[in-house]
Amino acid sequence: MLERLYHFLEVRLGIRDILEQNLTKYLLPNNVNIWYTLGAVLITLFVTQFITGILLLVYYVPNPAEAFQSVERIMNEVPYGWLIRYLHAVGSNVIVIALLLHMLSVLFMGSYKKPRELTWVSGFILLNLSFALCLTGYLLPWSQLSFWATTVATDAAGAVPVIGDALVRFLRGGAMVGDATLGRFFALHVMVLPAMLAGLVGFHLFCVRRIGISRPPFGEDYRPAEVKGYFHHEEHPGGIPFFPNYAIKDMAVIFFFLAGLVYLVFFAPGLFIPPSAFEPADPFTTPEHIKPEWYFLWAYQTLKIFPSEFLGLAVQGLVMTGLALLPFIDRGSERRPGRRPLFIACYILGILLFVGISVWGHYS
Amino acid sequence: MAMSPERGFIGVPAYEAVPDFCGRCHIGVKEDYLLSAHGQAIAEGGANCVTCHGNHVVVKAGPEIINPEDCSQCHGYGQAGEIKAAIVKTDEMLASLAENLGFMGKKGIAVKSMESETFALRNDFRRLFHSVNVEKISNETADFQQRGMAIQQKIDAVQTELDQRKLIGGVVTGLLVLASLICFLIRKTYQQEEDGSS
Repeated sequence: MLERLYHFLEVRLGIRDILEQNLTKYLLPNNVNIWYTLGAVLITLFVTQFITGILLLVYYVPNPAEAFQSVERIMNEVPYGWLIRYLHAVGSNVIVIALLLHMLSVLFMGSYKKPRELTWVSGFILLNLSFALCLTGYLLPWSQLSFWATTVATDAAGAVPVIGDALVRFLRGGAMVGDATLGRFFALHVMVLPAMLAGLVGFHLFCVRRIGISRPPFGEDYRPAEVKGYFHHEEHPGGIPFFPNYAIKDMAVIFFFLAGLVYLVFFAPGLFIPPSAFEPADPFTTPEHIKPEWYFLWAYQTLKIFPSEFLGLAVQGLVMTGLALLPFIDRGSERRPGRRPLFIACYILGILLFVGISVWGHYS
Repeated sequence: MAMSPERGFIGVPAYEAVPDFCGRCHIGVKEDYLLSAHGQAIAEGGANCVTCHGNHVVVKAGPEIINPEDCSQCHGYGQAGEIKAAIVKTDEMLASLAENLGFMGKKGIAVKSMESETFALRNDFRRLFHSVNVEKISNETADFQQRGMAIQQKIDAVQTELDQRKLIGGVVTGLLVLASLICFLIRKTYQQEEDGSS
């Protein structure tokens, strides 16, 4: 039966050729390293988010009067509801970790350089879309934590000159975080942002496949590839087949990340879900210390370091724009870290700043 | 103006009117108090609410209120100790129930109904303190303990489930780590083949 189906598809679509070209005859550089597996890890994690998100949608009620109770019901009454919710909530944090590692590895190996600018830009937008998904999803349980964290986050937009107040009202759908905010965040979280993310992931993978995977800039025989003035797919003759040789490494790292996710879900969900996440939102009681999620702490603290919030916001905007346009700023063809001391110094300083300001934000 | 009787200012209530004053909010407690020996003796100068709980800085009901220093103003010096001994163990048990439920609530477990049950039980139990009858307290304490144990059993059941979850989580984590290691080992064999062929 399966053989007949295969034959049917083979005659009409030539699937043998597609599979060969993308699996067994798809050759990767000989020195491809473990950091190249993070893309596969991220796809797995995004699929997990999609599945758990759909399951949560079955029971979640996007209405301030019922949202908290519906999440409480998911946690306590729906069979394995707690597991699905924790996989979704903790999984979003693991995705951010994987995204940051992916970005850092691409930066370190200079893989963002010409002709891979579009891959980088689409990846950077994906990172920001993921942040937007985290922010919008944070409000949905309508807990004290989500209500006040969203109030603080949307309040930051008020620092933009002239249109600040209007921007805050637009984000919230009113003067305060309320019904309208939950409605628009819900729509963004379950429909708009996932659709954009799916489309952009497709484009990102298309770019990776179309231009060819970059060779890691390590080893004595490495030389920067010559960038031509026309389209050229980078081949790796004599390289290792993607399937099964490298796919098994993808699987190894995917299992490793899933083990970490399951461990966090079962043993330390409190790392990402503090007690205030289990108290219903109360617009009349402001908690003492409202802090955003760990990956927004740097932005939160930056707003406090500078004398005005606008200045802080402007610095954040500059950093993010600089990163987005990096391939157009750093245009040299050299990718070997040892031969890019200035870039690597900025890279290390950047990581230290991110960690330092985040820790400062946590304890401030 | 603020202290004008026309505006509802009552001022200091008469000694015997204190239970009515406090009982405007603490309705059940007032009824219980009036039935107790303290309430029955109020006309003869028996303790009213303020005697034990104070006025502006109100001391909440609890075993700490019962002490020889305060109670011996009217009762024998040893009576406070006897009553305290009869209630303290149960009161501690009820306090520990409330504390455990608080911890569980912070982990997302729905404890509201158990918390309400414990809160009501603790309130009812503390009303017993109005009585100065050691025998009555000892008899009724057993019932409170039983009701407390019933809540404890519910907490234990939840805790058992949480422990089972951890066991399953540990096994799944271990299996995933094992799967990861096996994949790495398979990759190693491919790598040896690749090194041999190059």
